[in-house]
Amino acid sequence: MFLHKNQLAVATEIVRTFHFNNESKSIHSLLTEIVSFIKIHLPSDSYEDKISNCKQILIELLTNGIKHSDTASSVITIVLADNQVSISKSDSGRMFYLDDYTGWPPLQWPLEKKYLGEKIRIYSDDINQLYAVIENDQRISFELIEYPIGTLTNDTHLMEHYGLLILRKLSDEFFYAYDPSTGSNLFRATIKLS
Amino acid sequence: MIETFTHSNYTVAKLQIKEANLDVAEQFKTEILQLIDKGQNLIIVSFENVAYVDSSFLGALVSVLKYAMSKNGDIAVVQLNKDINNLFNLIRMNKVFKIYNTLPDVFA
Repeated sequence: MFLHKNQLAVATEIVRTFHFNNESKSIHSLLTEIVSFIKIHLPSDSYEDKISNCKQILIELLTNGIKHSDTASSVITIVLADNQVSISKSDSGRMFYLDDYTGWPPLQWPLEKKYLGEKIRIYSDDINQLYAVIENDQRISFELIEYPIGTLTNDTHLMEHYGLLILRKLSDEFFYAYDPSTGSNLFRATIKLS
Repeated sequence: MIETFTHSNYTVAKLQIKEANLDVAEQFKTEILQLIDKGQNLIIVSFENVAYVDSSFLGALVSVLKYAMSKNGDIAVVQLNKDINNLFNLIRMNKVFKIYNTLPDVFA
């Protein structure tokens, strides 16, 4: 069998989990360990950019765990299969808040079916708007709208929160899911390899 | 966290860290704001020693840029490695900050 140079050279699913103690001092060693694991399965130089994207996704997911999860541990799961890499962070900490929803009553998980397809603004400034799109009662995806960047002035409004925006832009698919029955949160970013 | 020297009207702030992340973002912000308050409002931040950047540090960088601009100053960045340069391009920070490959390019 001849594989395309950018096709994942494995026939079966490869899965590995890593435990993160949600402490910033642990990021570097865990990052090195996970990236090394991914490189073992994607050894070709042609994957260099994909691995770089995986690394930045991991940085943002681990940072998110420290800043927002309000719990002592997270689990990072790497799955290599179907010519793609998926990187998941799960924990049982604080759920994702859709703060900018101004309707009444406030949105609560599980999300009511009547909200399916609705877009909730998460961040916005003069160059980006990031929305949560309600996919089902337990899951949102993220949509980014970019505006042209002209000359910056003192009046230009620039946000200072880039984590979700980076995750959205680096991923071919990126979503958050909350399971009310277990209280578990899941962020998953997927990168296609070709 | 930063080592500084001046050249012409510019202050070069060389980051003395390998990981530009949430642990150091606030301190970075404080040190740059102090420079600006002392009148050094044209600042070149050198990433020569930095291996990676996270969104918290990028947020701090944007924050100090806004403060510098409010004082008629500017913040530029120099010596980004490939991954950091790709990140700047990805989220269009290359259109928000002036990016230079080397310090001599800044003063050319």
